[in-house]
Amino acid sequence: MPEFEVHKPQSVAEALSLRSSLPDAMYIAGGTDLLPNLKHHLHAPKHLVSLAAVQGFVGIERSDDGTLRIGAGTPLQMVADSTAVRLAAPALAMAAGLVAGPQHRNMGTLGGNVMLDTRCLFYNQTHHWRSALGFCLKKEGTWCHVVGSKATCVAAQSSDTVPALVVLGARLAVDDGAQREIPLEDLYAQDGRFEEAHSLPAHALITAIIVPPQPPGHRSVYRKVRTREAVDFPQVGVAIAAAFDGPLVTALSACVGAVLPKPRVLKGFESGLGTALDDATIEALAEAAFKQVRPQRNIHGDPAWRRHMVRVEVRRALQELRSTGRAS
Amino acid sequence: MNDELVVAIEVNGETVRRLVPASRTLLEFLRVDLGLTGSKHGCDVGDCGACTVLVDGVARLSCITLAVEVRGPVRTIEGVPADDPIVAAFDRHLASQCGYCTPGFVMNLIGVREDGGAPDEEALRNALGSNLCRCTGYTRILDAAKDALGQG
Repeated sequence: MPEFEVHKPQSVAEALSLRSSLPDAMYIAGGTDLLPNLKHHLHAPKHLVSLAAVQGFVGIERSDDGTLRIGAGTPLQMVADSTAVRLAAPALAMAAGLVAGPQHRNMGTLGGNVMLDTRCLFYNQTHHWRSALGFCLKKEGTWCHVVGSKATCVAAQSSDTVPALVVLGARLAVDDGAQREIPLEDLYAQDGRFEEAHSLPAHALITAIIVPPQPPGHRSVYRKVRTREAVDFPQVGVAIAAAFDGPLVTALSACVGAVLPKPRVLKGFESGLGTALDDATIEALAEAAFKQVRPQRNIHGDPAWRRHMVRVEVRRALQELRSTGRAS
Repeated sequence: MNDELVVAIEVNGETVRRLVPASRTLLEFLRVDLGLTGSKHGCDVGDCGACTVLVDGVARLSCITLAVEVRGPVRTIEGVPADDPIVAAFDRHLASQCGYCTPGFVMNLIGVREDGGAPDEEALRNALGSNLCRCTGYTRILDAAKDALGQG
């Protein structure tokens, strides 16, 4: 582990001021992503600004109109267990409950999962491993070994909750001295060097994740592909949100995660509107998803298999929505 | 440089106070500073669960927790009595082989017990999902867990 100082602000204002004034500083929330990355020398901060003691950072509030406001420091397990989240936004509860393993979910936060660093076979390795290849475009090198390019890093956005939050239309409450809200989707860039590429100023703090009220008859699911049923990051993640009027679909949106640096919103899903998600419709949508997603050799799992699993999981997700779409 | 900080926390019911580097993990704090070597150093990056301890009754991975960030009382395997029903069930079911993963499994299960309820087999499998046993003695570990937590 590299040496650093740790600062423990009590308020958002104090955290912002520490993060802006200290050189080479980073925020640390649950630490489940950051500390392994520090041990691999992927970052070399001189200062960590701990968010553990910041007041008002943990908790889930539901307002009268059905909006959920989830503090950025809320542990993922609390999100997964929350009755309010399970009822209003089932896909989010499912996704939060599928992140890593139980201990990670006790520690890791929703804000941290949104800010998860992108992952790659050529990046999430020890310094020694990376040095043997002359490093990579994302860190210390000039060449992306995945696609053979000097221009673009294709490390995968590997959060489980992000695709779910995208289909739920979530917004981020951001404080960078001024408070504002941005669509969560706008955080992510086409380039996998997330720390530099994301759309917020470096010192900005996400204070809450806001899930707007969903339309009447809302159902949503998140499905995760991984090698083991625990701990692993997704090799593909599929989130779909729908609304039903009786058997008929009145809203439908889908997002695939863990493929490229940006979560992929699937196009053409409006063709499911007005249907009862009959088998033929589901098959057509699954095929449309398959055609739009092109996994690279950036994370574990053969890209052709991961692409096939997009089709399989979109099909399963739609079948699940047709029958229930509730967090069990 | 303010790179050493005082860690003052409760460990197994006793308040301890040490000046440590800010980058000290809770696992290093327990093993190196306090000599409590029951919590094991496995993968070092939070993948194996051997370092699991309870903080405020909740299972956490001590190898990816900074000691200076710990705010609640810590409980380690040294604070678990030999006649604890979970430990006794591990003995009865021969659920330890080499034993390296055992403290992590036991602490995780104590966390499950403190959470309350009567977890069924699927819940126990999920709860133990982030603890690895390189001897692959999972069946006996699960048997011990079911026995100790009332599903045996």
